[in-house]
Amino acid sequence: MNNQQMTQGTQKPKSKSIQNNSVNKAKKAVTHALLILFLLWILIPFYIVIVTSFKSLEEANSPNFTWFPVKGFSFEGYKRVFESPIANSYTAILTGFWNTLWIIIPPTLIGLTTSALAAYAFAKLRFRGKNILFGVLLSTMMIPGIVTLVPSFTIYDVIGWRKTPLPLMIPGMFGAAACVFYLRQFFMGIPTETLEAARIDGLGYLGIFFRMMVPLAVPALIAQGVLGFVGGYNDYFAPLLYLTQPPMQTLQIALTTFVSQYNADWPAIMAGTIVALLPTVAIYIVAQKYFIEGIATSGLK
Amino acid sequence: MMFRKKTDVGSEAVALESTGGLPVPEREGKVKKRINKEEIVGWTLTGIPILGFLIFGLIPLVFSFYISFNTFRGLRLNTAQWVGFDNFGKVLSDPLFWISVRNTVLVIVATILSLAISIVISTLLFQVKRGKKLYQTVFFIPYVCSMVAITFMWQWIFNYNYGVLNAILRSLGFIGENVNWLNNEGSFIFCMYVVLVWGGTGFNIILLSAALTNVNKNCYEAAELDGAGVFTKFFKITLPAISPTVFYLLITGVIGALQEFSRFQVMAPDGGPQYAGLTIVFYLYRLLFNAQGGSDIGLATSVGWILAVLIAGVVGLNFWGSKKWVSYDE
Repeated sequence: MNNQQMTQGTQKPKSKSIQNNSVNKAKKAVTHALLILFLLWILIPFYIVIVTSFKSLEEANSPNFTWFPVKGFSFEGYKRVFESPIANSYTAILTGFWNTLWIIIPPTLIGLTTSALAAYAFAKLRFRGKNILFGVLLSTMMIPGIVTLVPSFTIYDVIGWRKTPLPLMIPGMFGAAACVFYLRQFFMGIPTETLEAARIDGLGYLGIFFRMMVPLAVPALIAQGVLGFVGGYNDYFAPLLYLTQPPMQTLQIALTTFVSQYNADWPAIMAGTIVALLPTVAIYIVAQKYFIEGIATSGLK
Repeated sequence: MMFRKKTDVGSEAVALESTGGLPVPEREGKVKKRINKEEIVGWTLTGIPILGFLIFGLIPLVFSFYISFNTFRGLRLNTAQWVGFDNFGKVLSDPLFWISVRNTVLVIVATILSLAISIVISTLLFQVKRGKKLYQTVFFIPYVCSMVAITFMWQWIFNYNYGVLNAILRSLGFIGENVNWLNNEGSFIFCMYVVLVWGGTGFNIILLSAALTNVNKNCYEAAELDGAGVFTKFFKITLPAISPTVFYLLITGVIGALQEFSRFQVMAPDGGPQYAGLTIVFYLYRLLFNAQGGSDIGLATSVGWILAVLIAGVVGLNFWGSKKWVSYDE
């Protein structure tokens, strides 16, 4: 009936229900048609990538685009992704993928922990200067990263961190203001009485955090964790500043290297694109609930 | 503000006893208090992110003032030479900078266009039951995708010789010969619009859908009894009700648009035809890496500050505008 309320748009609300029904049906059909059109607009580019990745070079580089690998499936493109161009050399994409994992995952996990601990302290502990500290933390969200970009770059250069993964790893380990803010909101929703009981039972502050807060906050932590990981995985600008040399490249930079290696080899480029996209899309499909939750709740103040 | 009223979990046993477990009245905070364990834990835990901010945020921030008023040779800090506001003057008189401003304004327009489309789509989505989950799942996919990979995807679609866009347009008879989409100023901007709008709706749709579920349904019933049509209902009920979310998305979207870089740099590493792909951040990046006389960190930092002022302007607009036309009645 909700649908009827929503789609009923006739001038005369008392008109016959049969007529109304057909109007509603038509409106429903139009709504679905528009949504499907939008669905195709999102999906067709992906389809083109997938189809191209399975084409032979000859078929891809023909003036007539085919919507299916009519000359048979070819795995040449994927072979280029997983085989090194020169014997005993690295493959840009696989190396990049591995680099991304070890450069991104530890700071994500450590940063999440420090953020959660700070959020817990802000939400549930009593100490002098709490409001001021919280204000300081919030104010950091106001500073656009673009202002500190060049000075940071210069400082990292002076202290020898440039061309190392450290600028991508260390700052994030101290936690992120936005994450603290979001988790603090979450922790404040946990009733204090339960925690008091645990306190009386002899649990310390960290004991309360790990035994009580963390288990209750698992969904929120996963939401922040996956968003943090996907953000780091897809980051392009920071690695472009600090880590462009091949052995240390992260996946996004490696993808650009790979594309320049296989200049006009579109099946290979599209295969590389698929390989680069697959992990985050897979994580999204599996952990969809957490993504939506994390975004919907952190976005709506 | 809120936490002051909260009962505290881990107050020292003494405090619990003396107040019978009730929250300690606020004014007691003023009375000399010995530093207890809870305070030490609190300071340590909250101190970590703040320390990180001091090291990686505040120091570069202060340093950026110094850099923007000096000129350097390359990345060597000992070549500093005080030039006052010269860097800002140089940037503001560089025609290339103004091209990058124009391009960035075009990105902002694309962001607003994405938002408008998102509002339409999420309103439609709100009215369906069957397939809703599937639609939502698919619409959000671009948001989790790497911008680099997505840009290569579009490069292939817009490819001059073998791209699918030319192939379709040719087969439909719209064009006789292939269009060199990415090598023409006008068509390049069109292509970037496609890329930006395609990638810019997923996040909006999720937030707008969440906002729409909170719209009071009784309003629609009342409006229907008054004979309101679809459009009346949309503009008089739906849009005002979701206006805080729309405004939030507008502001964050514009701030993001002002800092657009990756998609343009990957699409056209050289800046594109007639520099149509040069955004403000891309301009800054080139000052850092591609400048003729080596990198000029003084100029680059000045660009950063100009951009920061623009962002601050948008945030200011946020405060002014949200009072003006966003309805916050619950």
